[in-house]
Amino acid sequence: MITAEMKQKIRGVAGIIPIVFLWRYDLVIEMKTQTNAPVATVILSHLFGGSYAREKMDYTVSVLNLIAIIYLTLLFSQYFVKDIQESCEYLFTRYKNRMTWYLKKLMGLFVWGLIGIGIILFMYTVNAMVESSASITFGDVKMFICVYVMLVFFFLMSVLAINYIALYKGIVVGIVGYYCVVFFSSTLTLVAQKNGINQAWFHILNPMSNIYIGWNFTNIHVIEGILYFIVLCSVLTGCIWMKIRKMDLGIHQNKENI
Amino acid sequence: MKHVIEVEKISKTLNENSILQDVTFSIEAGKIYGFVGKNGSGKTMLFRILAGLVDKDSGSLKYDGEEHIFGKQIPLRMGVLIENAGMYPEFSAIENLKLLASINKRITTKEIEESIRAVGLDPKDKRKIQKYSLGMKQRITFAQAIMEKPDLLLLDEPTNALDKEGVVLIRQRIKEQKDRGCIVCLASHNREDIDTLCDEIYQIEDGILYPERKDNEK
Repeated sequence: MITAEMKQKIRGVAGIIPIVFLWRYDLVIEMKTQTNAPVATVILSHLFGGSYAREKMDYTVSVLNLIAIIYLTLLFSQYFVKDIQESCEYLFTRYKNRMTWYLKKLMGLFVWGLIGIGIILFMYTVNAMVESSASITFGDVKMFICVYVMLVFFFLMSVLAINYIALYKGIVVGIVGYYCVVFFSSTLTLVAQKNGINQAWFHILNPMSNIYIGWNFTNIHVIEGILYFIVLCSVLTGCIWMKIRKMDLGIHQNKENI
Repeated sequence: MKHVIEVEKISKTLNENSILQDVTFSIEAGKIYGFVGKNGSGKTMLFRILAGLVDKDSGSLKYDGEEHIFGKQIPLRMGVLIENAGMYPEFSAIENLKLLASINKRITTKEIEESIRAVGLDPKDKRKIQKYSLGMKQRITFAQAIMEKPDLLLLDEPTNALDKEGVVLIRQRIKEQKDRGCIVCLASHNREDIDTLCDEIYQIEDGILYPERKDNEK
């Protein structure tokens, strides 16, 4: 049974399509321009302004392409918090236990991530396939899968981080706080890139460098980047569970009603 | 099986304020229990503890003789109406109820529609709940509480914001739940609700629970 909540989410996720068109209309205009570059290189240069073995990424291009992911993240920014803070009485008296609810929500989030990021990448891939005169190779497919997995886990990490902060400080602090970290981290990446810093410790301390410049060195950096986001997602999943498993529900918003 | 809930010496403190103190009572299927008390006396907190939403600080809570551990499944089907708790305002009444019914998949769309009709609303009404009046919101919240034929019904101020006709209708539905064998706990400031519906009445004052004799027993 497709619930109203699912229909609402489908409409929201479909909103990615006009957003990509609006922010990267230049790609549609330039589609007639043919290039000999491999399809993977075209996708990467459109997404991050860089590609394998290129040590430069274009900050503006990267931010422009993050808009679609930011939109998707904001769409799910209250994914856990809304259930806990607004309708907990009616939801949690129906679920067997909180773990059942949490696992169901996590699975749902993962599926929505696959769909949302899939739509974004599909649009870029179609564009790259039209633009590139080179035929698709195994390397292109491998790169596509790597970008897909990394962006899905980046999306999951973003939603989990916002919801975790929101559980303590509210949704506005969650969104603003998280995106301040992303902005600061992105700026650090740009500065580090200009100064040629690419050591492992920098990638570990700076989340966004994994998204932006991991591609530009070797495949090992890409795998490290994916593992990095998987670890962050696991830690945040555990933190949220520790918070909600013993949480008193329905009290915070109704302090007068005890 | 006749369900029994035993509450023994339950206490709850919130921000160093004692909300419930050594609350003890026992309730069984087929009866309506009334809980009266001033605002902030602890009625809603007691309901939240019974619903497994809030953990008690001390004491024992047994469902059908088995000690309940917070976070584990409560062995009774539950219907809850808590004052100020929200449904999804951006969805229509039937969409809200379908969403909640999809969790356990125990009832059909037809049964959902019947429960909406039972509270005097139209299941075909496509308006979002945010467009509803307070009384209509109260009715639809009551419908979600009874739609899955619960074993335990926790009703916090169910007749608030209702017109006369609505009050009579909701009282009738509460009696039907009792006749079905449901345990009904009712908190209300409306003394008429309590006196006409309840088999046993408890008074809560500053977190302490006292049994109250009904007028005809005095």
